[in-house]
Amino acid sequence: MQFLELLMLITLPLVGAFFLLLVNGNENRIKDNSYYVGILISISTFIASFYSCSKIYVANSDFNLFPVYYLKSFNVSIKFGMNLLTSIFTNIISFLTIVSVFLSKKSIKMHLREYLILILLLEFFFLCGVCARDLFVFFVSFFCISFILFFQISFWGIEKRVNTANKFILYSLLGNACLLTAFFIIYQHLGSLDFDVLKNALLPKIPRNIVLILFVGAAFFFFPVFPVHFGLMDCFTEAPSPTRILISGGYTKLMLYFFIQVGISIIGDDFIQSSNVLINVLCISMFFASVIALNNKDIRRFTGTLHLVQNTMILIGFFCLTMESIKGSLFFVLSQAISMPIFLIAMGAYYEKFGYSFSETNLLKKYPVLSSLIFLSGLNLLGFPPLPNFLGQFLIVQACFKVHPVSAFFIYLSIIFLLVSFYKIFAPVLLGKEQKSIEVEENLNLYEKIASMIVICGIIYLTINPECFFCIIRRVVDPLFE
Amino acid sequence: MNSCLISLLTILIALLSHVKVRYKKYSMKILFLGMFLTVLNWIDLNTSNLSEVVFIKGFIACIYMVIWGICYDYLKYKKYELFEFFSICLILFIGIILIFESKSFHILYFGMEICRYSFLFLVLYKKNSEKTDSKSLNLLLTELLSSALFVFGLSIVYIQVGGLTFTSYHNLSQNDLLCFAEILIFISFLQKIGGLPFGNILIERVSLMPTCLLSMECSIIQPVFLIVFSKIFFVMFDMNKCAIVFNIVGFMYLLYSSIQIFTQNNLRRMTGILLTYSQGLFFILLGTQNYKIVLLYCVFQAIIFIGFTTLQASLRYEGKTLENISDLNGLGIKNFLMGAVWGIILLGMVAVPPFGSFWIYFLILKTLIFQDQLYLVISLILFSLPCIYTFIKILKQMYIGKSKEYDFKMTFFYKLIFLFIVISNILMPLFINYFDNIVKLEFL
Repeated sequence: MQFLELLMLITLPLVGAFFLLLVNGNENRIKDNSYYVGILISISTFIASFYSCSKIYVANSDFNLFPVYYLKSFNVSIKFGMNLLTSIFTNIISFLTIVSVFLSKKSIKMHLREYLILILLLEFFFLCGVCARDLFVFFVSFFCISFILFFQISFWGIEKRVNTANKFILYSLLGNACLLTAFFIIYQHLGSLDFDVLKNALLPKIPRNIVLILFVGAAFFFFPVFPVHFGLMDCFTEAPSPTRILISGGYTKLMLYFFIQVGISIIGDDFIQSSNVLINVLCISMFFASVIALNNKDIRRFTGTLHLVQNTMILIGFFCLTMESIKGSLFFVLSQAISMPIFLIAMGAYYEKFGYSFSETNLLKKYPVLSSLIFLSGLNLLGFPPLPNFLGQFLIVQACFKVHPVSAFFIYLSIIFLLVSFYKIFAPVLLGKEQKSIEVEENLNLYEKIASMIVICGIIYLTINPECFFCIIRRVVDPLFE
Repeated sequence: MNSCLISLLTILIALLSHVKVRYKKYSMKILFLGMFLTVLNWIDLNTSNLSEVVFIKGFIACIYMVIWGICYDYLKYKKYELFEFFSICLILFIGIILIFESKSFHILYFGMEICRYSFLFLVLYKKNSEKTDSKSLNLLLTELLSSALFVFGLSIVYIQVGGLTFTSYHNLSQNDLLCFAEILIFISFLQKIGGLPFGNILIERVSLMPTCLLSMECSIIQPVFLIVFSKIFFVMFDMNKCAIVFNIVGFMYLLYSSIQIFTQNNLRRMTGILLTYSQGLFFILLGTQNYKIVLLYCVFQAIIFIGFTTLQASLRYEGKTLENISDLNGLGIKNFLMGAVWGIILLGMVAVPPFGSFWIYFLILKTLIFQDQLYLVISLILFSLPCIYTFIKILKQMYIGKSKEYDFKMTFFYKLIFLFIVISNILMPLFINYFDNIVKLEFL
């Protein structure tokens, strides 16, 4: 039964992509039908993922799929499995895919069907990567994800899409090169890339250190971290909104998943020994990123820098290697996955109305729903108390303060810089003087309003009762420290 | 030897029929029939044991016949004289048979020369630029020089060993003169395959060729030369001592080609650079002494290059074949299927998972890592990055920009080739598993 459930979860997006190929008719019909197929498949995948998660939580046991195929020449078995950590990420990915498909109808003006095929393929590879129980399958999935994202940015991106896509693929290739080299070193010493083997074996000292450096290098490229952030930073300004959601919620978080799932068991105590240095480096890089945010005058770039700072914070949370900090990081990932889409929906509506330039528009007076959405989601993204992102930030900063108080000071400073830059950019837009007369027409359609309300309700519920996520996170993190 | 006789007889009969106006129309048919008989005789399917030798021979023969098909279509389109071209092609096949069946150095040399010179005739068969004369003269001179070096090396070997068979080379004590001869043969071999430091020869040669001949160079000549020469290397050199030399040569190749590929705009020159790249991998593989992967790599190279060159031959615009990368602009928008085939084959060439060459790369890296050659693993991964980046950029161009009025020459034959290449690219791991099971390397 588990076999079927897991197989269904992974292959559903692939089946959806195949169905999309069969959609036929005139242009409008193709567009509508593709959209409905996309929504249907992504919702089904989310339900399947949620069901698996609840089943694992209730039964308190992992799903393991027998090897689908064993490649004798490579000594690689293509097998999948699922535990509570995996199910958290599958839920995030399938939820974000729904939002992406939902947004794509409005933001993608041409070749919607092809775009949705890529989105579903992306979901398929995400799920493959997360459910993989072999590093080889994980790597292949990761590479395919980078590649599909590159295509989406190249063809459906905004202004400087060509340069952005080039930068993105270049940095991804470097990150992938680090990962592949690390995997080969592991393969050399352990003879296998199977998770079960990796969890019960320990690498010798020198290879372990090299692998650690390569893993950290890959994490710097994929999260991204200042100063190797150029590849992904521009994606937040130039990629189409649905792709941006998947990059921010899924792609940049995969390394965290990898670290928690197998990274700790591969590297062992070396993480703890090197954590001080890494935290210092990350705090300084976070500080510089927040200085960049302070000088931003463009909201799109601000979103990118905000993401850069917060991802660095998540990485700091992991490298603190305390129970609270890892819980904080995971909670942050979850709450960011909810708050980022709503911010992007609101900003999408804003861009459609006013374009990419920002002038004093007094948005609050004329478009109360839109402006309150931007304001609330922006504050939540920034981790303003008592919104849910704050809790994640708080746990990370608290853990960092215990380990390294000076570094924690830089984190505080970065958060303050972010708030200041948010005020600098959004205050004129929301509250400034009105410069030109614009016809009063609310720009969110009914579906967008409903979707936003659902997500806002989710955020409010999460603010009041964070325990609903923490009970799952606790079950994931506690065994790591036993 | 029977197959060589059949070929020669075929050429003679076809020539006679070609001279007589009355029978001229039969000359091509006779050639094709002769070719078919030669192949059947060479593969020798009657043997009770269907070993890997039959498999490799069959593979070479199949690829060769596919290339005949491509050349036939291409030359017909270009209105070239078909009979002369295919007669020389048959002579070239005799050279391949001789190379493959050789058990002594002089037969090998003979086959190699037949192969090289008949191919040179084919390359210079129709001038396609004003510079052809000077370039062809250069090519001829370098071929002559390499032959001279090879013969000089062989003569020293003959003096020292007293025979030219491969078996006489075993259990031979090394001395300085023999070492000198080996170096001469090695250099001439590098010249023959257009390897470094003679890499430019290969690229020049490739840039001169009609597109249909690219497939012959990439998918037949190079793999056969590499397979047979690796056999000779195993006979001549102490591989344990030479591994470091091969690694350095391979490293230089990869470095050279990964730098060169960034600056290329011409598709044919790019094919030449990719060939140099594959030679680099070949040398590194020779250093690992894993002959099975060498063989696998050559087979894969034949398959993937045939796809790449067929793509180039099949796509035309305004009566011209593709020359530059910019000619591909907007191809994917114009014809989605053609764009997808280009995409899969391009990605299959440059180690992008989950396509073909990635699996071969994986095997190579696996072999290297188990021999503790981490520096080579890292450099291989790093050198593959410029190729991947360049090819991805090409792919992107295919979906951006104004498209030309392409003339898609998609005959059933081409569709069949593309289908085979795409499927083999996607199912490469299964193919490798199968290959691993059947190849036992008994013929070494």
